[in-house]
Amino acid sequence: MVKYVTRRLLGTIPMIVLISIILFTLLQLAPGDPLAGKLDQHADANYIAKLKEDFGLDKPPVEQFFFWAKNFVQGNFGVSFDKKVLVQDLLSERIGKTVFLGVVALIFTYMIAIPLGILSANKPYSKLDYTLTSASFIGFSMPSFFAGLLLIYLFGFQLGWFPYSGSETEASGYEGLEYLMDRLHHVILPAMTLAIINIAQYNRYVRASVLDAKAQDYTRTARSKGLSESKVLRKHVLRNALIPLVTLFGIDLGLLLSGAIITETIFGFPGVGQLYIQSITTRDYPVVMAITMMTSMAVLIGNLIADILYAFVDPRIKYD
Amino acid sequence: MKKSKIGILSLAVVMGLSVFATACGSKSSGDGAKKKSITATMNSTFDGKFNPGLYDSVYDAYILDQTFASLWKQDEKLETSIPDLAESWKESEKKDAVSIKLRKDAKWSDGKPLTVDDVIFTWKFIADKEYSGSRFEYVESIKGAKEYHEGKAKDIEGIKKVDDYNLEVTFEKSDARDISTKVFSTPMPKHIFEGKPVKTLENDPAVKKAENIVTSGPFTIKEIKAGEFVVLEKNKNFYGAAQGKPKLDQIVWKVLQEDVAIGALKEGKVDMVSRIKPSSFETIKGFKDVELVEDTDLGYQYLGFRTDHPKLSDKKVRRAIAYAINREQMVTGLLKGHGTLLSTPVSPKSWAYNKDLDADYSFDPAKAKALLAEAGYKDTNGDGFVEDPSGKPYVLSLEFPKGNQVREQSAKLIREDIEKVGIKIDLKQPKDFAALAETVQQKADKTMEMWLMGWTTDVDPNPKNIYGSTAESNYYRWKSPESDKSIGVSMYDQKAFTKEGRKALIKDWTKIFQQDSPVVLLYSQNIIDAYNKRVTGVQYDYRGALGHPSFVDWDVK
Repeated sequence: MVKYVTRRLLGTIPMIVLISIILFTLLQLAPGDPLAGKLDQHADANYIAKLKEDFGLDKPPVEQFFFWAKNFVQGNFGVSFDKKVLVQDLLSERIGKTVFLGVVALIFTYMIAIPLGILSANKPYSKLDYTLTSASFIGFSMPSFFAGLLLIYLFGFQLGWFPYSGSETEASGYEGLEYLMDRLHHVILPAMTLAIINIAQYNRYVRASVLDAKAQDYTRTARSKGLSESKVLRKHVLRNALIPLVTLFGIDLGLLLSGAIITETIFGFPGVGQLYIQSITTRDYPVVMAITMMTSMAVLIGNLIADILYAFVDPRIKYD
Repeated sequence: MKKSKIGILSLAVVMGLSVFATACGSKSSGDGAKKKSITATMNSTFDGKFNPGLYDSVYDAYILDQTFASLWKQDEKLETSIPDLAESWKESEKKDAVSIKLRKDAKWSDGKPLTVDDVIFTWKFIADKEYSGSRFEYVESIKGAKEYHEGKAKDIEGIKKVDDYNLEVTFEKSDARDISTKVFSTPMPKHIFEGKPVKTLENDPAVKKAENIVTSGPFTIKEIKAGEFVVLEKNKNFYGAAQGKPKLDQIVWKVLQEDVAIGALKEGKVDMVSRIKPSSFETIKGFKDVELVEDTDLGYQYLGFRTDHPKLSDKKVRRAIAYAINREQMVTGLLKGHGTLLSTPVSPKSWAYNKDLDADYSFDPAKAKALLAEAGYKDTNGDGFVEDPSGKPYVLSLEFPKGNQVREQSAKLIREDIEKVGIKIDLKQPKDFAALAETVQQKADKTMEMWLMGWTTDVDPNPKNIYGSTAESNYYRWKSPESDKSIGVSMYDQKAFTKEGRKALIKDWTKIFQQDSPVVLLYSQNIIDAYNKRVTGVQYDYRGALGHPSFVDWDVK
């Protein structure tokens, strides 16, 4: 196992190098200049030349890349072109919030999608199944800005159960548990917005997977042994049916870090996604590079975790 | 089996927590009622560089306006005439020097007195060789500032400290421009920043961290959450505190997407919404207890020509295009009346605005056609569009950026209008702002012909930064010795040292500008702000309600 993990980790290094080269090249090729956003009548030629020099933009792209790569390896993500502050400071302010949002959204997804999927599969082609199928299609096709606004309107404005924006109460003076509760209270609506589309998708997977497992020989054997239906379901069907979800879990884990651009914007939730879209608009390359690299690495590691989890949930899989 | 138990358990925990959190939430709103607090919104996130010398974003400026006092402020005629930190100031007759007297009761929020030393420190900071911001221009005209900036002098020659509250400034030469463009007016606290590295000051806690920022204005910064909100608190050391100013205890600035902000305004959950789109005006008008205010913004939209492009080098063609565009239709149709027609780069709000120049800047397709014919552009093959004087097909391209809804819509109208007088237009797909701006700025670019973009302008009417031949912002590559000379006269000639004199000189320049038409001025979109009527004492002008200095008098019912 240790050998396998080491091998896989080493294998990600060329991937990361490749990703960084492709990303850097794409950003170089993309139209737009990080300094173009400084269109201001007070920006004279000297000022622009000085900025170019400060940011290393006067050097050839290959040299810029190696400069960036050297710093990146040492854990220095550079200075934001737009805000002129350290990229790691910008990220550290936001990453915790994005992960918190992602984790709560994932919890919602699994808590709701799995039971719904099982319910559907239990009585396939029943009224309940059709209702859930239709609901899933609606959920799946609902754009997140619409879902977000709908939740804000219903639960934020009309019912007033949850805050309609932000990640915490302003000037609250909350500490400890109270602060945590406040954060949780704020995260529920955006997390639900993120979860809706996942729930719609995952309960389909679960349904298909459970139906599949139910038709297997081992299920028939279990039934013919005289086990109760609930025992058959829990011990024989679900154990097998939920294995494919582990793959999805790995990918989700990776995406946790990338944030949710639209949802974060609508809820004024200050996560990585909000920073990402802002940086793309202003061509703030150091920030774009840092976030994209972080996400790529997280997806690679998430996949690795999924593969390792596989060995635990499926005894047939062994890594040597 | 274990799995499902854990699942049910965690679901229960989440549900339980959220119920508890709901209870917490409702409790807190009761606590806040004692304080006089309002919530204002901004459409997009602030950068969080809360320092007058370093900020770039307009959202940071909102916060700075309320937390930092300046030497003086503008009135609604765009004159520097309201004393703030400076009790009085007097410019020499030749406009080559100014003596400034500070008020003695001004203090920093940490209780230290605000003196001439802070002002001088700030000017030297901005003139420093290592300074990474864009404001050197605001001290450049002080005598010796250039030498200091280039590292050739240890001090700025033109600054003389008389005592702690009096100083004298000498300029490089007589200069008719407004004092606010010659002297940077918002001091930074010397005792906080002295000795710190100038180049990387952006990363200093005294710029970013609420507890470290020392301010001089009516409010201090109490709490900052990046991308989310800034909480301002009454500054007990503000010089106006003795008169009970500001009246509010707290202002919360929240980052909120416009649609949500408008919903929250309707529900009474926020009190003020800034910079509303014209298309939302009618929606908000129907809200109970909400006041809508608007005024002409100082910025404007324009259609730019590459005047060095062979297709556009004839000013008659450019003039013809200016006559061909029905700009009024944009104001009444696209902006639904929430905008102003513009005929000169000087804002109609300014004292220097010459109203009689509007007459020759009108919608006149017949005149446009006549000018085209005069320049030799005629329809020789009968396809409804003109050919160039040598008989070749004549097509002009028009580019525009994404992001401003009204501007995007105006592109189509402009094409229709110009095609009506016979010039075929190749309307390009909209580009990302950063992408289009890159091409617009490129000095070697030969591909662009016409584009749409906007300018924000200064309070001083001087056109040099935007239309001077050597200005970095002269993307139209308009090289006119006549215009340069006229700008020079309006800045440095003795006749410019009186208001009337300068107004007349600017009028002379504007005529040259209109004749040459390096750009077609389109419109100024109004600034629209909305606020809940529970907030009292609100005034507004070209800065909107939220940018108006009267915020010290805001109160809540």
